[in-house]
Amino acid sequence: MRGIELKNLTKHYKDTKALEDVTLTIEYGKIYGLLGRNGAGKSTMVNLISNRIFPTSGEIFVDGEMSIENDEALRKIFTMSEHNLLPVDRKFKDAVKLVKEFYPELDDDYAFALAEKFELDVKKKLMSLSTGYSSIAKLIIALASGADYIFFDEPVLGLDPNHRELFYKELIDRYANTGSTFIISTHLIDECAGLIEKAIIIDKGRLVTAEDTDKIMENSYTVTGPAELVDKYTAGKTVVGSDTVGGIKSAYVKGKAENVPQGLEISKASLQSLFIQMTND
Amino acid sequence: MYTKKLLRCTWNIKEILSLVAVFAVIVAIFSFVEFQDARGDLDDLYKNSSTVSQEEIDKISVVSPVGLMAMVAALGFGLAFTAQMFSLSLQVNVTRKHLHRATLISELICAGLITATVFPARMGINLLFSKLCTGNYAVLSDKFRDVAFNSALFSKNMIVSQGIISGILLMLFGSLLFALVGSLLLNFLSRFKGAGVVFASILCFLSAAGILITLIVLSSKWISFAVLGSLLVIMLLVQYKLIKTQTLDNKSAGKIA
Repeated sequence: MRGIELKNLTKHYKDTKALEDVTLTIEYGKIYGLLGRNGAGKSTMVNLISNRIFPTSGEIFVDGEMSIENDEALRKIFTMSEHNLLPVDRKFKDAVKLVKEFYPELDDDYAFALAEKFELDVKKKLMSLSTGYSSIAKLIIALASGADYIFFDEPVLGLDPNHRELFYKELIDRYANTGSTFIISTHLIDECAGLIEKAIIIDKGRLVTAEDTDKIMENSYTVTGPAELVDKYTAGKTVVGSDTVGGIKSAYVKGKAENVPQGLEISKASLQSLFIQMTND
Repeated sequence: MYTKKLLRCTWNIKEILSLVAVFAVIVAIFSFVEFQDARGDLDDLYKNSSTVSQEEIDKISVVSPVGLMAMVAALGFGLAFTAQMFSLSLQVNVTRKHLHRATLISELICAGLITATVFPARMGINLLFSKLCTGNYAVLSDKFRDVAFNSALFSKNMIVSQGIISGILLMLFGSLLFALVGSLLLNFLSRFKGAGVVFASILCFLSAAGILITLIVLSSKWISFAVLGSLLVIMLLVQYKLIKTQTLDNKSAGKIA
């Protein structure tokens, strides 16, 4: 089976448990959202999969091959990091050529066409690009890389809403054309919710859930109304969290809404609100 | 294959030429300053004696922190290339095995470039100044050669070639030592995130400078060469072991998969 398999993956930094016993399969040909609070272990997971750091214990397989120190397996992965790791004294067009040396499948025509769409000056050195355009340069190279598994770590950092919109559109187009797997690690959950097929939620280094977003949302709802009534209705149900403003309470409940008494309002929970409730202390 | 690619992407003709140009400027300035310092003593020597005693050699010996600085600064370029390569390897997912090989080769290229550029340029400039000012060809003493060939260092009838050979040897040894210290530290830190590169570079710079200064202070050619040689052998062995272990790791990883 094609995909990335993590088996009991653990990463400790001295006393800090960055990732703890994570077992997970990232299927080929899907768009994933890697969600977690600050310091939850998202970047650690991405860095482990990309071999930038090495696990304390556990194994990583890419398309059935162990990926640690395996050139062939690593060729299938491209990671767009928050930090720029390409030589900053190179022009964008040279950076594309440079990456193509290692990723022969990189589509440079597509990269330059995208640069035009984003109005990126390809003759500018990476160091002279603004924060937003620096992110755009990295995004373009990642989208064009031709890798089977493309990770985006905070991809829209510094991008204005128009460019963010363009990125999401291009990502879907690219996904439709290549069928690659895209894994987006982001805090802007509502923005990405529409394109994420599966959500991997991690909290404090542990895997909370890895499910289809539709399934997560189908099986959850928000019930809002007077606190007393909400408490009465939710008694015995799986409540993942709640908010109370004045006397009005909103509870996030797992399962399907049934026999809702009068005075209570049922609505679909958003991925972001479910995420907040799942990862709140 | 990836080792070669990493090297090709980091080293290009523009980088090499700018490196050589920087070295040449550093060497020219330092050599001139050094020559000016020693000129008076040199004139006296040529006028007053036909043979030169060790005492006199010590007297005119120009303590050359500038020469040392030129070498250490130049080697800093090597580290900068290594850091760039390290960062690039993280972006393009190159395994440690290739990174380690490429950093080692890169440091050796830098060491070779420095030796090939700095030392002959330094000698050439010194000889030129000497001829212009005193009418004789002589090679000014510098601290590296003091360490290496203390007794045969300088005389009116100095054998220039001996000075050149000892200088080249010491500079090559020093560069190699620096290269290996740098490469090993980077290898060690490559287990961690890219942020470690800056830290590693500073650490490499300080350790190598420390080792070189210690050697210069030792001021005995045999002890210096013995210490330098032993360190080189140890580091080469560790480096070899590191690469070999990782290659084996890969093989066993393949078997498990």
